[in-house]
Amino acid sequence: MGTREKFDKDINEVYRMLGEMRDLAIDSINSSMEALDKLDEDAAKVALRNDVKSYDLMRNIENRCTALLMLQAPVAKDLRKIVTAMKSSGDLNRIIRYAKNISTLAIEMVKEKDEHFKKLIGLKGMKDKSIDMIEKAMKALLEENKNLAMEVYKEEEDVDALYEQIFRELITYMVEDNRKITRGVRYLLAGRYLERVADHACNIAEGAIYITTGERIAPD
Amino acid sequence: MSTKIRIKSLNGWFGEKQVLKDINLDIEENSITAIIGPSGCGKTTLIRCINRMHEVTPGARVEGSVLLDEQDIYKEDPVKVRERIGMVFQRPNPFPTMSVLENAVAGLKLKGIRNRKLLAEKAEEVIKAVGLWDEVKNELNKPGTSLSGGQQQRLCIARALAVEPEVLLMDEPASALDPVSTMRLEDLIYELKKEYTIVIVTHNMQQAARVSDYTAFLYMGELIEYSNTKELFERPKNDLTERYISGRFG
Ligand SMILES: Nc1ncnc2c1ncn2[C@@H]1O[C@H](COP(=O)(O)OP(=O)(O)O)[C@@H](O)[C@H]1O
Ligand SMILES: [Mg+2]
Repeated sequence: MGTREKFDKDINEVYRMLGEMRDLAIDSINSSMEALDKLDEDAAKVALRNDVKSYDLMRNIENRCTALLMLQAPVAKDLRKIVTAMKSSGDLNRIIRYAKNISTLAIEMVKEKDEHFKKLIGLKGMKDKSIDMIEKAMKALLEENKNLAMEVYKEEEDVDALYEQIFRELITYMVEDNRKITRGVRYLLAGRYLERVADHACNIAEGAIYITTGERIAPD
Repeated sequence: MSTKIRIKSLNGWFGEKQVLKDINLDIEENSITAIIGPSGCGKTTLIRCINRMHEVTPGARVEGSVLLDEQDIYKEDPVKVRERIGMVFQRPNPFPTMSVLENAVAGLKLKGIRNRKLLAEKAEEVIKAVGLWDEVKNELNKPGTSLSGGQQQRLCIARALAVEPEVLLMDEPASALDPVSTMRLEDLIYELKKEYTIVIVTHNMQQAARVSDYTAFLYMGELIEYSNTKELFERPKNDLTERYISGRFG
């Protein structure tokens, strides 16, 4: 195999692993939110397991990219793809960490035999949006699609708006009844984690734009 | 920042064969400009047009203009032009019959300078300028060819500097050197840009990326892309450039 072919093969392998991390991320968010909603400890454990796998994948991607940088001194799109793969694997790993944090909230509620005092409609909305953002951002990354990446930026505003709404709603509940404070804070934290997830999805979208155009366009 | 050399509609031939096609290129003063491209694309010919060496080859011809400080060098005395625009070649080529010291000031001797004290002072100055003094100060009277390859190349640069040029053209100056000598040479080139305008031809893309401020990509006699080096290597505009620098050629 020629040097160039070997290089393409290595890069493709890195991006295949990023795809694997995306699947783990989406699985983690879905199951941790399911755990929180149903107060289901088994569902909560999925994100904990995924976190371990994701960390290994991230390290593996880092090692391969470091080797490519060292051995091939890549330039142009090759360089942009490697730099972006390293950053995006970090973003995906962070996303899984946040899912793990949500699982931890669920486990605490199970341990304390808590019951929900409301339906988690707003949080589910945030979850759906942020998963959609991850899917779009990763598709934009893998298919080098700038327009799709720009859509992710727009969706982040929706996530922020939902979080704002949840925040106000929960404050009202907690002010009315101080027995709801502990649970209210947990819902708030879950919202905060999902808001962070959406932010990392935007970073991935930014990487997709960088690969495609060479420009760094920050979401505003 | 100002333009030191302005190449306008430059065309070059060897006999019937056109090897440079309508090159337009502005070279910035006190900067390092790298010329890259596959072998045979015209890199050497281009820089030889910049100091009127191309036309010396029998059958070779040039059209268009090269302005040095806005004056067309093709309307001036070629000997004077080559004093202002020095050249360093691919293989170190110290004069074999001359000592280290004589080599350093060979150009001045050619100009008729005979004052031994002046020549010795100038030799020391330029040998120091290329970072060779401490290595050769006890061997100044040995033949220039007794030095190592890297030292010989720096001696050749010293020789070019002695006639006090404004521009230095270098044609793959590191291609015959080992990695350590190459690094030293790159450091030297970087130092020299404070006082000189440098154009370097290199087939080594990493070298171009490391040392140059601007990079020109030449392909089959045409200038395909010219921009600041970081830009050209991070986000080339032309697909040919992208393919060449990423090693997807041929
Ligand atoms: N002395 C010569 N006579 C005829 N053709 C030449 C001569 N030198 C170079 N050429 C041709 O001119 C073209 C450009 O050569 P050159 O400038 O040496 O390319 P590079 O330095 O990029 O390798 C090539 O096709 C080469 O074969
Ligand atoms: Mg050449």
